[in-house]
Amino acid sequence: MGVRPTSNVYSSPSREMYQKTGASSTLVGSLLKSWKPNSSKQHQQRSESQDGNIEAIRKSQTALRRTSSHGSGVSHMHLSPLRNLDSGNGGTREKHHRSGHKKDKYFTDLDEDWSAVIEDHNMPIPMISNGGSELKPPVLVTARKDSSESQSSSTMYPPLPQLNKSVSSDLKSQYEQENVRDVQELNSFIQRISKFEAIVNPKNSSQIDLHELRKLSWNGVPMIHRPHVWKLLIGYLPANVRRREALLSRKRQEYREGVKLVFSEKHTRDIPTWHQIEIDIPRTNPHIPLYQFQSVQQSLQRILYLWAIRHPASGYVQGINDLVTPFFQTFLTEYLHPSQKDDVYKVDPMDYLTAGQLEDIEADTFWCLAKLLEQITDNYIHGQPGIMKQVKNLSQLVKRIDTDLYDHFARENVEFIQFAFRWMNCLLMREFRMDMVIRMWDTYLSETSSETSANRNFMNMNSISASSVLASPSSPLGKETSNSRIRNDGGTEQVSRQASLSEFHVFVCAAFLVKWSDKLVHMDFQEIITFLQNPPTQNWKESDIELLLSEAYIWQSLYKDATSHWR
Amino acid sequence: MNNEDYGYDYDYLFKIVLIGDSGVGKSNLLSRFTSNEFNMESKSTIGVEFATRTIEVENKKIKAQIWDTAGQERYRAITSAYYRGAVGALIVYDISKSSSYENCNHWLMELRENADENVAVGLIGNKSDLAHLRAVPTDEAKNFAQENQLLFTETSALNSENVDQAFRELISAIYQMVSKHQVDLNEYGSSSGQAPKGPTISLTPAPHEKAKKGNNCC
Repeated sequence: MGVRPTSNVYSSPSREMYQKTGASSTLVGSLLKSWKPNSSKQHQQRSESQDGNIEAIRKSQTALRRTSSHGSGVSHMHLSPLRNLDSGNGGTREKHHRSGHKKDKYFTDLDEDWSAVIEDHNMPIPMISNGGSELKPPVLVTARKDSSESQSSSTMYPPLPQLNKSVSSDLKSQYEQENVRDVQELNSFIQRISKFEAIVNPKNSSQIDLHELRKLSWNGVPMIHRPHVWKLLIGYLPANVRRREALLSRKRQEYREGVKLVFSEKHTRDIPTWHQIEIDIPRTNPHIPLYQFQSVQQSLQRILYLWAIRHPASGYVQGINDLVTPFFQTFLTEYLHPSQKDDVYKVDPMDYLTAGQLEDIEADTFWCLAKLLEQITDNYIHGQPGIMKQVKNLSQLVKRIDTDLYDHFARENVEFIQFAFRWMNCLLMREFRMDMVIRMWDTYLSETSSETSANRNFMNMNSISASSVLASPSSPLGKETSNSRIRNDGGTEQVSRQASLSEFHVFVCAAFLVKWSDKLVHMDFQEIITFLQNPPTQNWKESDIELLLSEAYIWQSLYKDATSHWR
Repeated sequence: MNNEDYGYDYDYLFKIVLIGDSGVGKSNLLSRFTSNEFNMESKSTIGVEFATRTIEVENKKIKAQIWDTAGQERYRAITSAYYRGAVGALIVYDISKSSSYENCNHWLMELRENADENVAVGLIGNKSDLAHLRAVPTDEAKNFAQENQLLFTETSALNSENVDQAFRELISAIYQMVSKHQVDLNEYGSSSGQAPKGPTISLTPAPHEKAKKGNNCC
C-alpha cells in the first residue's frame, strides 16, 4: 500500500526519459522508476513495524469511513484501476463513461484504498464501515476465518472490545493500530471470498460470468475457491453450471479409459518417453515433500505419459513436469479440511484421499494441463519456435523499456536466450517458490481466455483506455493516448487464445528482468548469467509477485500498439 | 581470491560444453568441479546453464567457462548452438546405464557437426560410485575413447572421485593444443591484468542472431 502512482505522475511527469519510447512510456517510466524504490522501502517498513505508520492508518481510517471499502489494499493495490476498466462484461459506452468518471477519484484520493475495486460501490455486500468502530460482525470475522483459509491467525489478537475502544477514542498504541489493520485486511479478505462465492454460484442464473471471474481472479483467488476457479478459467469446467457434473464425470471417465489403454497390452510403450518422464519425476520439486510420495510420483507419471502419447507433435518435454504441479497441488487442496489446506505440500494424499478421489484429481490435472499446453504448444514442438519468438520479443521489449540494460547486455555479449530460455520454457516456475507460482497462476489463468474476437476487441479497447487513465486529463499526454485509442478501436485485433498468455508472460519476464537492472548494469558477462540463473527471489512475498504482475500489465497496456505484430 | 574484477586475472578463457544423455549427472559434475557441491535434489537442466572456475596449468591461469546442457533430444536445437566456439567438450554417460553409453557415439557426431574442428573432447563415465550396478565395462569405454582420440575418465560427482582430474586433463589438453599451435595468441589472451576485455577463445554463441534483424517496432 502507499504506492501512489498518481502523485508520482503529477509531481514528476518526465523525471525519467526513455528516449526510444513514446511519450506515454515516459509517463510509465517515471511511474515505475519511482515505484521501485518505493516498493522496496515499503516492504522493509512493513517487515519492521508491520505498517505501524500512524499517518497511513489514520488515512485509511478516513478512507474507510467515507467509502466503506476494504482498507487492506495490501496486495491488490494499484492493479484494480486498470483491471476494472478492463471489465469485459459485455460492456457499454456507459460503463466506459462511468469508469472515466470514477477515474478522477484515483487522482485525487490519496488514501490507502485508492485502488479499491470500483464494483464495490455497486455491490450491496455488507461491509464494515466506520473504520471498524462498528465491528459488528466480530463473530463473522472469527467464524468465517475458521471456515476459510485463514492467512493470519486470530489467536494472536487481543479481544475485540479493546479494539473497539481504541478506535472510538484516539489511536494510541501501535499495537492497537496493527489490529485495526489486521481486522480490515481480514474483512476485505472475507469480502473477497464472498465475491467469488457470488460469481461461482450465481443465484439467478445457471451461467457463470467468466468475464467477472477473470477480472476478479486476476488479482488473486482465495485458496478455498482456487481449485474450482482455475478449472473455470482454463476452460475445463463449463460456464454453465448445469452442465458441470455431466462434463466432469465424462472427462474423468475418459481419462480413466485413457490410462487403462496405455497400460494395457494394446499399447506399445514409448520407452524413451517413459524413461525421460521416469527420471524427471524424482527431480520435480525435489524440495517439496509432497512430490516425494510414491502415490504422487505415480500419478504424475501417468498424467505426463498419457499427455505425451496423445500429443505426439510435442511429446514430453522437460519442464512440462514443472507445469503439471501447480494444478495437481491446487486440486488436492479441494479435499483437505480448510485448516489443513496450507499443509498440502507435506501430507501424503493417500492419508486423506480414496483411490477414486486421487484418480479424479489426476484426471482434472490432466485436462487442465492439456488446456494450458494447448495455449503454448509452440513452446514444445520441434525447434521450440514459441520460445524463440518470446525470447526475441523480450529482447525487443527490453530494448525499449530499458535501453541502458539492453546496451549493457550487448556490450557484455549477453544473449537473451542464455537466461530467458528457461523463463519461457517453465513460465518462470524455476524462478519462484511454489506458493508464489500458484499466486502467479491466478493471474496467468485469468489471461488465458476463450473469448470470441468480438469480446476481445472490446477488452483491448478497454485496456487502452486504461493507459489513458494513467495519463491524466490535464496531462499533455492525454490527447495522444486517446488518439491511439481511436486507432485501436478501428483495428481488427483478433487475438487468438494462444497469444494472450504467451504475450503477457513476455511482459512479466521484462518486468522481472528490469527489476534487477540497477544491479545488472554493473556486472560482467559471467556475473550477469550467474545472477539470472539464480535470482534472489527466495524471500519474495505475494505482494512482490503482485507488483511484478501489475508492472507487466502496465507495460502491456502501453505497448499494445508496438507489440501487435507479435501475434 | 578476488578474480571477479572483470575477470582480468586470467591468461586464457576456455569455453567448454558438457553434453550427454539426460540424467547422467552433468549438472552435478559441474557443481562438483566449480563449487565442490553435490546436490541430491537437483532439478533437470532446462536449456543451458553456466558456471566457471579458474585453475592453473603450467603457471598460467585458465578460466574455464563451462556450459552445462539439457540432455533431452528436444533441446538439441538450442544446446547445439552452444557448441560453436567451444574449445573443449565432455561427453558424459552413466556407467550404470548402457543406453547412455551407447548414445555417446551419437553425441560425438553431434559435436563434430556443430563444434569447431579441433575441439578437445573427453569421455566421462560418471556415477562410478554405483559400481555394483555397473553396466558399462571400463575397458570397453576406454577402447571407444582411444579409437576416437578422446580423453577418458571414470568419475563420481557424488564422492568427487576423479572429477577435478577429468576437467584438468581436458583443460591441459586444450592448453597444450593452443600453445603448440600458437593459434592467434593475441586473440586468446595476453599476460595477466593486461587482457583486453573478453580475451576469450570463444565467447558465448549467438544462437539467435537472426532475431535481431528486421524487427523494427512502430
